[in-house]
Order: sequence, then C-alpha cells, then structure tokens
Amino acid sequence: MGKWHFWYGLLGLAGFSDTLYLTFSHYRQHTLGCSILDGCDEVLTSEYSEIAGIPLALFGAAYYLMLVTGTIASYQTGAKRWFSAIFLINSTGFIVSLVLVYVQWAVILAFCQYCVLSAAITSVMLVILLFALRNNRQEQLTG
Amino acid sequence: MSKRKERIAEKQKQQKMRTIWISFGVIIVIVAAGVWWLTIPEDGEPVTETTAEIRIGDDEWTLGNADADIVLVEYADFQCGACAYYHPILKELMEEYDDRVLYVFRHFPLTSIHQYATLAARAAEAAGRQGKFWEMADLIYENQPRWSRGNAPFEFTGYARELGLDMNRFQNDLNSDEIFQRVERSYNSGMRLNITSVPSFFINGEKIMNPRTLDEFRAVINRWLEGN
Repeated sequence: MGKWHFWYGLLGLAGFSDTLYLTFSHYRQHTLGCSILDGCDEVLTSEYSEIAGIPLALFGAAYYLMLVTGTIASYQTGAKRWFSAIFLINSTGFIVSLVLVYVQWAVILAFCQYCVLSAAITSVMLVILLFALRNNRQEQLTG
Repeated sequence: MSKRKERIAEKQKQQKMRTIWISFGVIIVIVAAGVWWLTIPEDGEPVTETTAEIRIGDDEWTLGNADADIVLVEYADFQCGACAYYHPILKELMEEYDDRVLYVFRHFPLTSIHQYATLAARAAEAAGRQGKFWEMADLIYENQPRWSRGNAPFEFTGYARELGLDMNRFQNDLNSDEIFQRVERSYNSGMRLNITSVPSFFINGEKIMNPRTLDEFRAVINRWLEGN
C-alpha cells in the first residue's frame, strides 16, 4: 500500500464536507447557493431527497466518514480486510451515485451541483482504489 | 540490539498512528463546525448589504394593495419546481395580507435548464392580455410536471381554451414581439439584481432568504410590518 491513502483520505474528507453541507442545509431549510445553471432547490426538496425521513445527504456523510476511517485503519494495519471493506463500501456508493444522477437527469429534470460533486468524488475515489489494487497485485507478482 | 530497534520503531509507529487518528478527529470537528457555520440561516434577513431600488411599473402583474408599505417582488420561472411549490403559498399569503402588502410577479425564465420556461411566461402574458394572467399562472403551475416533459405548446393552448380565451388573439399575442420583450425586460431587471436562482424574493428592494413554509413567510412579512 502506498501514497493512495493520502489522496483517498483527502477526497473522502471533501466528500464528507460536501454531504455534511447538504445535510445541514436540509435540516436548517437553508436556501442553497445554487448557480443559475442548475436547480438545487428542486432536487433537495424532491421526494427523492429522503429515505424514511432521513436525508440522503446524511447517509452520504456517514458513508464518507466510514471510508476515511477505513483508509486510516488500512494504512495503520496494512490488512487486506480493511482494503476489501473500503472497496465494497466505495463500490456500493458508486452504484448509488449512478442511480441518483440518473434520477436527477431523467426524473427530477434538475441537477444539484453538490450532489453531482459527491458523485464525482466517489467515482474518482473508486478509480484510486482500482489503481492501488493493480499496483499491489503487480508488487506481489514481482515479488 | 535489533530487538531494541524494533521496539523503538514500533513505538514510533504507534505514536505516528496516534497523531494521525487525533488529527483525523480534529479535522472532522473543524470541518463539521465550519460547515455548520456556513449553513446558519439568515431567514428573512437581507442578504445583500445594498438595497436595490425596485421600481414597480403600472403594467406589472400585482396582487394586493398598490399603496402598501410592503412591496414583495418575486422573480419566478414557471418550469421551476420550487416556484410551483411557492405559488399556492403566495396566493394564500396574499389573501391574508391583501390590504397591507403589494405582491409583484416577475419572470425570470432559466432558459439554459428549462426549455419551456419562456414559452410558459409568454402564455401567461398572452392570457393576461385577456385579463386571465393569474388564472393561466395557476394552470401552468398546477400542470407543471405534465408539460415540462414535452408538448408544452399544445398544453398551453388547451389551458387558454379552458379559460375561454379568444384563441386567435391568444396565439397572436403569444408570438408577438411585445410579449417577447416584456418577458425579456422582466428577466433583465432580475439580472441587474444579480439573481442567481429562482424563486428570488425581495421585500422593499432587499433580497430575503426564501422562507420554506407559509408560516415562515407570514413571520417574515409580520417582521417587516412591525418595522423590520
């Protein structure tokens, strides 16, 4: 395991900040500072923004927190099980993000810039993990 | 000797990890506090330091008392979900504050994301020519999910028929330069006020954070009525 921990953890923190901002905004009923090019208000007030009364953004914040914690644990122990756990969580997050972006595009007909940012962060994080996995395998092969 | 080195290395590693975990905790707390601070609402308070002078023209779409002390201007886009959400709230509000507030509706169609927003604004304006602006606005907002997905021109013509409008006149007005320009003038006035999202509300020229419910809106208006 190498440098990926640092960048992965940093991106996780960025994702955590982003989703936490959405969560607080949701609870405080704060008008989001969306640009003229998107429709945050619509996305965040839509029926898709909550599951059983809990804002999706809160799940997002917990998800990023798990990833960053897992990254530090993986760095500390070097254990494969931590890497596998992060990989599983990140992959699930990626699929959920894909679904959410699709819902914004096809159902709500409006994009929320903070939600799209989170999807982008999750995708980049997954790519980093795939590279780390490949490098690790190569190291094992070469010895 | 090597065992001692190993112990020292192990101790150093443990210390390093302790530092990382503590830093992680501190960063999380700082991030959470920062985001918390960023999202503190300024409900009903002006968000701009400067007060823009909003002059209300004689030909604008208004409800309420023209001589009221409180002038509430809304910039809206008929294809925006949040605007549709606010529409009944504003109607109810204006029933209550009919004599104390003047409500002004202005168009701010976000054409880059809302394909039919300008057409909807023109349809409402064209209906307004025959005295049915608000009735058309009601129908447009109520049926927003339907026409937003396509077939808007057909839908709007249907609403005009439903309202008993003179259809030839409606079609002519819908495509008239004058109505195009009216919508554009309204949009440009919003641009001058640096609007970045819809709906945007101004009370006596000061932009307010959007109250989310009728009760919150009522509280904001009451605050202004009591002298801000």
